[in-house]
Amino acid sequence: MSIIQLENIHFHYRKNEPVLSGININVPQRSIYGFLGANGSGKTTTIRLILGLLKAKKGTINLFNENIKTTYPDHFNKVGSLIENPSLYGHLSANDNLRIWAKYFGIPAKRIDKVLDLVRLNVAKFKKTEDFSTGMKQRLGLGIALLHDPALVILDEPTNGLDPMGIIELREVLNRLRAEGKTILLSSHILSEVEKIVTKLGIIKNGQIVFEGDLSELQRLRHQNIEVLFKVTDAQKALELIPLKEKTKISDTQFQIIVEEENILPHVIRKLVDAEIDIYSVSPKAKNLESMFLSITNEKEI
Amino acid sequence: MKIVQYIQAELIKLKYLPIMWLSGVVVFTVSVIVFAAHFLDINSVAELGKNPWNKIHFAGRAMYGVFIATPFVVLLVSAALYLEHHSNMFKYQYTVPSNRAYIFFSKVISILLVILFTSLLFIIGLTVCGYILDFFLPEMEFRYYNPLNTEAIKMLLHLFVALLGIVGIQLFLSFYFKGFLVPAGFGVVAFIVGLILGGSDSPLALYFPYSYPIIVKDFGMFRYEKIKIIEYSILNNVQFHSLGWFVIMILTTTIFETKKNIT
Repeated sequence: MSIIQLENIHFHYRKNEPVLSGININVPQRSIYGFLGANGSGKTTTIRLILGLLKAKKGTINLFNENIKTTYPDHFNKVGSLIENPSLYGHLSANDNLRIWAKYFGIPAKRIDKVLDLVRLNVAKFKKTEDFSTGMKQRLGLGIALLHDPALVILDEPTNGLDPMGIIELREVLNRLRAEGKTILLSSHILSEVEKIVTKLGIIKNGQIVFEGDLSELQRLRHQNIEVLFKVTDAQKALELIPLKEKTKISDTQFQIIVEEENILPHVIRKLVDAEIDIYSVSPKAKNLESMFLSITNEKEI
Repeated sequence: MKIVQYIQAELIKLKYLPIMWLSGVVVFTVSVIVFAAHFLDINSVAELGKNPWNKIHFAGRAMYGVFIATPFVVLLVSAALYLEHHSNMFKYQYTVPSNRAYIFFSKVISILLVILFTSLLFIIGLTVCGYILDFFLPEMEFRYYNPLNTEAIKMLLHLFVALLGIVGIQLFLSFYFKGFLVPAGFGVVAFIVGLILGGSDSPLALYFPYSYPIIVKDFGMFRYEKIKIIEYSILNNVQFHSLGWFVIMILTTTIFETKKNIT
């Protein structure tokens, strides 16, 4: 069952300047869905559409298998969110901030202590939030998102401002939430921050989904289109023998080829050996997930 | 009742805000001025057989209505909404399981409650002021009359209705413009224009909401000949105009807010 389902979503702020161009997303129940993309690729806009803060120009958004147009605003009982930076009333304490949201969601005040415990802010319960560090604010923002015990938690760049310890703690909290049966949509522009916890990934680039699948599918992509560097006695002769499209001579003794699948490589080596070309080294360029993500989003910097 | 819980949430937010302290300061200042004026000019207050509370409430109400109420409302509404814009709160408030209109109306009601609360403080402040005057000048005979006479409460309710038009306009401006300066600046300039129109007996004052707290009742401060104030059974035409502005601006803001994209 999909908890979030986006079908052919289009959105623009100004005509002829599309922000999202027909995106499709499926977030399965009890998953941690990593929504990745470079800054400005359309992640936050997508999240705001899911939350009904923006209205899609075209397409359908289903939450819990129902169109949000028909369930609005009741479905918000089951959705908690943290969008970019947490919004807090700086002149009030953590307790008062949570009391406000407890009133909005109509939940008993006793839940506040549980949430403060979950985000480890009990000691700062009565401290004004304007005196909080960035990490504490982020944790309180997460606490507000979880206050009404939602089935779906949407977190937009939740690691912003968190130190490494904070990121580890966040991972623990998210894993615990998943174990409790919750579904989590987690956006980030840094793959390494989310790859350890996500069960499914969606990668957005220039307002279009360029990859959606689980981590193993992304791993499979690691073994496709591999760049291989050869050091041989005669690079020119070797290149003439290899029937591949993507091949580049680097020097008289070095050349590079790109093989679509790694099982092509033994055939290439056999061909060179049969032609009595000595091979000194074969160096496939290993791709890690980060470089995969970069090559998918085709961004030099993210 | 959702709306009651939302109003409670709004009132928690207003806690410790400087604007709330301002309510106390406003009431204290007016009470001190009224006290000083009566203390120094006893002959104008003490009239045999007449309720001295009427005079003290009238003076306080005149000062409050002409010089203080409008800037107070302008600051209150601007500060209350700036608090939300500054914290970028609407992106969360509009993801609670209620229509956006609920959120909007809870803010309107909580602002009106604060204005009523300030009016209540005002009556209390003037009552304390009367008893202190009585302590020093027993011949004023405050103790022989009921301080909470209906006239005092009626006067403040009249002022409250006259302020509604300003509340509506300021709410629209504060929702539309995200900063504090534009709505507050507009309100202060409009207050001065309203004071000039009301004080100069201009018929235009009847159509300018920022003049309404000044012209809604004749306090003897200005002469009204050209401004035609027609009294009906409960309200006068100034208050009906104020209510009209309030309803139009509230409806406009509700439509604007419910359709708005939150970026």
